[in-house]
Amino acid sequence: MNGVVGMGLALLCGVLQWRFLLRAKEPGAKTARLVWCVLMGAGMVAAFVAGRQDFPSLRPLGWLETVFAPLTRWLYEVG
Amino acid sequence: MRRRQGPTPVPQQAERAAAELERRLMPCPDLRQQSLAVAGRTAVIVWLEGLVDEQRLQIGLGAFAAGGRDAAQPGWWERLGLGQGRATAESRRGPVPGGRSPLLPMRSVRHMEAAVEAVLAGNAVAFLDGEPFATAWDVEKSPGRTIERPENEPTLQGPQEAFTENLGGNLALLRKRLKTPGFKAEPWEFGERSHTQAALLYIEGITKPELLDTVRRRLKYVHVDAVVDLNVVREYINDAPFSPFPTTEETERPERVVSSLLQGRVGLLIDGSPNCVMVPVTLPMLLNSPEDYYMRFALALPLRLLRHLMFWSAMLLPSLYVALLTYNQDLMPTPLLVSVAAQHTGIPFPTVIEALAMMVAFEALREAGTRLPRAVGQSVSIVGTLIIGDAAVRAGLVSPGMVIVVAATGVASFTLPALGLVQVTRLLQFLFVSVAALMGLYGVVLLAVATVGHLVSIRSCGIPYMSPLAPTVWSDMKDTVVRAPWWAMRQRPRQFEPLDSRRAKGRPGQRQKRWWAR
Amino acid sequence: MTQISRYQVILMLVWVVLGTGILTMPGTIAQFTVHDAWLGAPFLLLGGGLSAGVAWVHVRLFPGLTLTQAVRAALGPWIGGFLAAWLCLWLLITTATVGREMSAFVTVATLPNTAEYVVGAAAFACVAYLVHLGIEVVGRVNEFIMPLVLVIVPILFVLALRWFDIAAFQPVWAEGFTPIWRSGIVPAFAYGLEFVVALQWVPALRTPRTLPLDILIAAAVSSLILTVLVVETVGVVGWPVKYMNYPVLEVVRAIRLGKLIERLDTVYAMGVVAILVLKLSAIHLSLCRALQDVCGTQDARWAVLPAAFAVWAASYFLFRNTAGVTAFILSVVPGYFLVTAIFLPLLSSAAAWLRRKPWRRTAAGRL
Repeated sequence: MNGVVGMGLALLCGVLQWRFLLRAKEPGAKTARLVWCVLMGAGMVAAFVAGRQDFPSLRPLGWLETVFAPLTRWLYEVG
Repeated sequence: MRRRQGPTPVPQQAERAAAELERRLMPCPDLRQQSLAVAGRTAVIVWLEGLVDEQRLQIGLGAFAAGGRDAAQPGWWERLGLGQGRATAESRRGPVPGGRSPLLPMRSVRHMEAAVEAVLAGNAVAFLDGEPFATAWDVEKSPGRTIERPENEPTLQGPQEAFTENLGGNLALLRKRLKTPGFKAEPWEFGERSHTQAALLYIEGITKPELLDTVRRRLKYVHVDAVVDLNVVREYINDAPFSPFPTTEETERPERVVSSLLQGRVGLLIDGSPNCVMVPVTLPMLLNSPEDYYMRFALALPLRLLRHLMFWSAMLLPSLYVALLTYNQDLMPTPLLVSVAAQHTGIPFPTVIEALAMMVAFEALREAGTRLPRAVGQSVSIVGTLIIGDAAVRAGLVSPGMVIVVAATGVASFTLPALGLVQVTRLLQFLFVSVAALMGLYGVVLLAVATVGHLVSIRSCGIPYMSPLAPTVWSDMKDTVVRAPWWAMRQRPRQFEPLDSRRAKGRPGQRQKRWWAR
Repeated sequence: MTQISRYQVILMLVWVVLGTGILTMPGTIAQFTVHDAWLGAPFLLLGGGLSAGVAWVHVRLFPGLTLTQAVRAALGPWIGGFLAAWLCLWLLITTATVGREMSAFVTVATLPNTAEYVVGAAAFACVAYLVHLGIEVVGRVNEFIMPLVLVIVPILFVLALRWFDIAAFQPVWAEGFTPIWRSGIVPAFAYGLEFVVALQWVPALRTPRTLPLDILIAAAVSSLILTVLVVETVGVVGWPVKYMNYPVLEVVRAIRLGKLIERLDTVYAMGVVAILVLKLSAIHLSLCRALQDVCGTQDARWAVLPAAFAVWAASYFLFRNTAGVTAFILSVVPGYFLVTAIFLPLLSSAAAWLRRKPWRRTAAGRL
């Protein structure tokens, strides 16, 4: 369901920012448009995946845990 | 395509000139002409009946007939007791038969267009044979009402004079309260067809010049054919044109204008409008009533607190009721909840529909009460609120609690001194009820935060709308929610950055003291 | 040029920490110690001090630059660009975590039958609107809400004191320093390092050089409020505080005043919602500014809506449930924030100091 809500919200954002998406000519506008699309695309995929209950093994923050959990453990232990 | 023509010179034959003027104005049944013999030459004097002071006109006619060129000799007009006339911005001073009177300024007009304008502005225009110009003098006395009590901003105490539709009279009401050469009334004219006169008011030495420049710059953008009311100009100079919140202040009370000018603000009076618009304005100012300054300061505090509370109540009360009944029943004490639930038994509509229906009905009654003649309007209000409300409750269409909430919301909005704010609360309460129906108190809080965000984002001529609350200006808090005693408000509001920040100087180098602080 | 005052900065920073602090921090601290939980709260000052130190170095080495601009200027377009993107991700994950905490709390406290993602969407719509209006507006909303908080919070505090039992704190320091230190890890390294988001506001500050002091003041105020809150929560709820997700909510639920007031928790929940919106807005401002710096645009408004949308989706994608959020905060965030908010800015400062190049856009100071 939140995949559908996500699509709707993304569409709304696109409508609200059509002027920026089509006409912006300021410096960095090309990169900004690319980032806009990446954020929106990633957001829609994330909303769709989050709405499905059949991805039990997905741990999107697992890599952060792998990298930083040891440091955090050390912080707890150092005291 | 119409070809643009140059100005038409005044014909040297008086009869022909008068006929030309009549041709331009006709059909014009109120145009009057009088032929005279002046120094052996024919003169025709033209004016508009009803727009001039008959007595001054007669005196002027007599003087013109008797004096001819002598009429302009120094002292002639004073002896006749004629007053100072008002010259329009377009007037081109030039040679007048025999010179110029110091008291009744006569001016010559060289073109027919200017002559027509002068007649329309309430001047008498005289054409003299053999002269390539006409002579105009101001005998204007437009019809209008006399000074009355302020109807829209009534107070129990304090001055009881209100502006009228006459610009000159309104300026006089200000001048008699502000006898300082620093008080300036800068002449402006709006409307390509209406040529409406206006005056930009400020006090030199107090008002920040940048503020004045901002207002002047915006006024230059007023391009309309006619200014029939102040609102036309107000919409042109507004800061946030799409915001429902008013970013200008209007008043019909001269003493409020004087107070505003002394704070370092700018006013604008327009001929034909009984109100003065003042900028900049902040939301806390719109919640102040003139009465606050006419009563003891300690009594003004609870009244101001009440008004602040009522402002938010007028927007939020129905939505809070809907949220409590629909989502957040736990906030109600059990006995009250049982009572309210019992009231709702048998009501065929969901709470939100009931609320919206009642609010629409209330707004319709309020609108009817405003539009109808006063006697009928009062009857409609009484019939609507008492009889129809009671009948609706008895018929089981609405619950008594809902009637109370909607009526209380109406009463809350009536406590607000600024009409613009009342209209905003009338509008926003519907929005709040809608979000309350969707998400309960959570929706109401989110919309309230967004509303506060909107309020703090708008400005009035560069001044933040919510100052001195946000951004906080501690020194200006003396006249916001509390009203400090006059002897404690020695500084003008800092937010307007007045050139002279001290209200009274006292003796140089001496600290101001109260009589009891010896 | 939009500028915000020191008072506004301090208020924004206080709510950045206390937004979720008043929601979950007493419970998080009580995971490690209950008797001495009140000694864990002041550790926030440690995080605040570290953040102030980073800010002190930053505003002197990179006057007028945001953290992302500084990183790119000091470490070049490739390494600097990567680290700037890392900072964007950090801000995105932080905002998503707060957003998820908020929607979970609202669903538990007041809207049990509404879907969490709808609750979150409404909150992010409000946040996007405020951020779209700019940092000045966010600062002023903080100022406007402050007096209301000053009126409501003391009333709730006094009303809840009726159930206060000092025995919950005895014996004092009985378990040694280790549980106290552990209870202070999250306040110090998760919440205390959130102050670093203020480095993204530097170009909009009226007096950027006072930012370190402002962070210290905000940390002191937040520590004081948090300590009082922990004392009250532990004193009222007692030992069970260890097992509660939202212990302060339970404290407010305990308030009774005759037949007039039976439940006040919804009022508390609404206050928390308002404060959380401000917290989200403050961090979202930083995120949008970071995206602006990465793309090199003149304005950050284009980023407001897509970033809000991505954060909203991420808040449900990254965490399966509230337990996942709590586990992330306890086991990952302290280390993650320490590296990202302290080591990374210090790395760019060290690089700048070593290379001794004039990074500034303005000619106001010298490196």
